[in-house]
Amino acid sequence: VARWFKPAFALFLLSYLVVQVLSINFKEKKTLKPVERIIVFIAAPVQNAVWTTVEAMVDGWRHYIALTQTSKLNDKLQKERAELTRKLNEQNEVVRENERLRQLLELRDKSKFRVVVAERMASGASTFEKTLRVSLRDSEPIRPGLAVLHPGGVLGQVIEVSPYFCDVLLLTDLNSAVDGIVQRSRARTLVKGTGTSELKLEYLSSKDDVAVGDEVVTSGLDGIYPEGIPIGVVSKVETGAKGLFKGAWLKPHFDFSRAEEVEIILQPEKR
Amino acid sequence: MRNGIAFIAIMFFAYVAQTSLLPPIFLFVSRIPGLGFLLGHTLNFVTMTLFYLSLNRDLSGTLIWATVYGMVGNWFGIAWNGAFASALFMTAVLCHLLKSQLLLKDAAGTALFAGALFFVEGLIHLLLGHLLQQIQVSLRYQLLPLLVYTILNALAAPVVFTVLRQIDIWTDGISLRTRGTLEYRL
Repeated sequence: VARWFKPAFALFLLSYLVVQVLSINFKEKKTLKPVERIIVFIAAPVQNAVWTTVEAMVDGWRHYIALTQTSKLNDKLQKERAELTRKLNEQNEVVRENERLRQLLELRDKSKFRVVVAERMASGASTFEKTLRVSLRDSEPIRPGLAVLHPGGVLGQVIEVSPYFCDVLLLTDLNSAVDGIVQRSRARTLVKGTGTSELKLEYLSSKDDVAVGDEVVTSGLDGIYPEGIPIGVVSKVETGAKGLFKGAWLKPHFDFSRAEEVEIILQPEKR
Repeated sequence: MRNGIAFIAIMFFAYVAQTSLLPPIFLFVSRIPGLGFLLGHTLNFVTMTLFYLSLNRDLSGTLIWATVYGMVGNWFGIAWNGAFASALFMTAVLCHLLKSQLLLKDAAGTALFAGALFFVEGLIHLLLGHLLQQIQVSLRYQLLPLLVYTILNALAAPVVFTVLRQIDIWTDGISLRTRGTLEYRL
């Protein structure tokens, strides 16, 4: 037996044991234990203070010192604003018409939820695990598994809760997924995080009608995210795939890394 | 005692720095044209500190620090069951085992060695994530982030190691005359 075999085997056994112990310890981690609460109680305000200070400094630089191109950008935004106002008016007309039709059909309005607004105070400690920590302003009954939204669409879900903050697993994380539907063709799909800024559409039937530019929204069938929340726009369809399924890529409407204010959905409003 | 408290304090500082201090700065820098690849990145001070401890402590010290650093990391927004802690632990042990084969005499050598360790740590982290969380998405999408992560941390490691060595000397963790793996000043 080679000289290196014994220590290598011992190291392998030790590593295996540690992985098992750590994974068992961290499994089904829903609420914090007393010791964890104390450490988090000390660390969370420091994280909040550091994040707020650095954010203020960066904002100060961007908004007061680095102002080149601002005038041109302002002109461009004014034009875009005028265009969006026109579109919004058109949308408002459609919403009113929709409401009238709903009343006629006596359908329940599913688009209203009780939400809690939370503010970002830190990122996750790992580069590969996409999480962020948000501070809670009020003592709402937040629990793991609740959907978290951004004005641009789905952001992720709550994974851990403490009295003053909660951790959110972003949709871009490798371990995240949401049941989606292509708005135009109503094709169902599973939207998965890839650890990058783009998402992957899986289980699209090779016969499904999906094209670049199609909007994908939540189907509401996973029991976490309500129906009809935007997820993103199809940016690439993998053609030439053989077999039952084809793949596609999705570009979210916003940058997950830059999310600041988020909404946690407590429950659908009952009427 | 003083040294132990110092490295516990450094651990907390490292966690706060990499979760709250650096991410907004990286977000800001990533707006500069051509630097968009830095979006979502941060420097992994915690792992850097642990590598330093692995290079300068005996095996039992390495094992204790690796376990403590991994356990505490779980309270700073870690989502995959034990993958982060296990990856830290395994790479710290690997670093300790390799130290007898090394004599890092300059910053370039240290950066190279740290880069290799960060690459291994990232790879183990991702592989354990797949194993423990049953992630099905291919790892190839993580190759570029892993490369950026490796290079960023490799570049920062010599500076961080020098600062930590100074703190170690001030708190009587190691003697000025100690000859070991790290034998240079920046």
